[in-house]
Amino acid sequence: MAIRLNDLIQNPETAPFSKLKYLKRRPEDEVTQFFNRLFLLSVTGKETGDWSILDKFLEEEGDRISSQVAPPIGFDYTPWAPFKNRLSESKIAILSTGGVYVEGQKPFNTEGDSSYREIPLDTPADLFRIAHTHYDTTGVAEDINSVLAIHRLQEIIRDGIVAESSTSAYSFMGYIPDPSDLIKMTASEVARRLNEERVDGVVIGTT
Amino acid sequence: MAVPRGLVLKFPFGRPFGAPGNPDQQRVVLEDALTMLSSSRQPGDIRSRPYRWRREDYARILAERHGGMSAGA
Repeated sequence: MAIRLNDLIQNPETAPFSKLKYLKRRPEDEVTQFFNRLFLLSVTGKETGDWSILDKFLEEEGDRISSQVAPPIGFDYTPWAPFKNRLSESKIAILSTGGVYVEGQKPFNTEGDSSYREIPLDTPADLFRIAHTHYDTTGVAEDINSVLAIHRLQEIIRDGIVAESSTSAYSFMGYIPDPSDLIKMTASEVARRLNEERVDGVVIGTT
Repeated sequence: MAVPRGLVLKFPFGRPFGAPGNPDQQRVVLEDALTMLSSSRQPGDIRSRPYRWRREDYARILAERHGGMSAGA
């Protein structure tokens, strides 16, 4: 039976090996070339014990392929708020776009949702839930800190690097085809809450 | 609209702070983000870190930074 070239790359969109998944959007001769090169470098790596050439190839191919399928987006405006405090005297918040919510809260609509969830910092690990179908969620399902590093922030506070945390973390679900409500309402609302709490800085784990 | 500050890591999608169950890695990344937050001086500052996903000794990086302190210690 003949093998269809594209059957070799029928990996799910959420495959953790990231940029290489876009290979399936490239012309067939490029896919052939990729597999030929992959085979050759694998054989060479096996013979020499030096796998770094394969690693370098995959890294460079990932960058090259993704730059071809997704041209860089141009931005006309970059907001800015200077960070004025010392870190050790600052209040920091952690946010994420990873679709995290807590058992009992309404799940995000994975077809597009600009709402947010307030995530209590003392949420027991077994009560975190994820509603997001546009990235590989197996990592965050195992450990919330992979996308929302709330426990790491608590350790950093304990060690005196940062003074305190916001009362809660905040979570969005990053698949938002129409971001107008996000811009006009929900993102502004979270910003207002953080401002009212006098948060000095925010770290967002993007997915 | 662009981000005012961005930290770029060559990690697999969906694990911005690091691998699940690797608190040292997650902490290194969070500390880098905070350092950037406090040291950036201009909008659109994008910095990248060279970490090689699982092939980095993050405990050693933390030890070098803090003299022996590591996540969960």
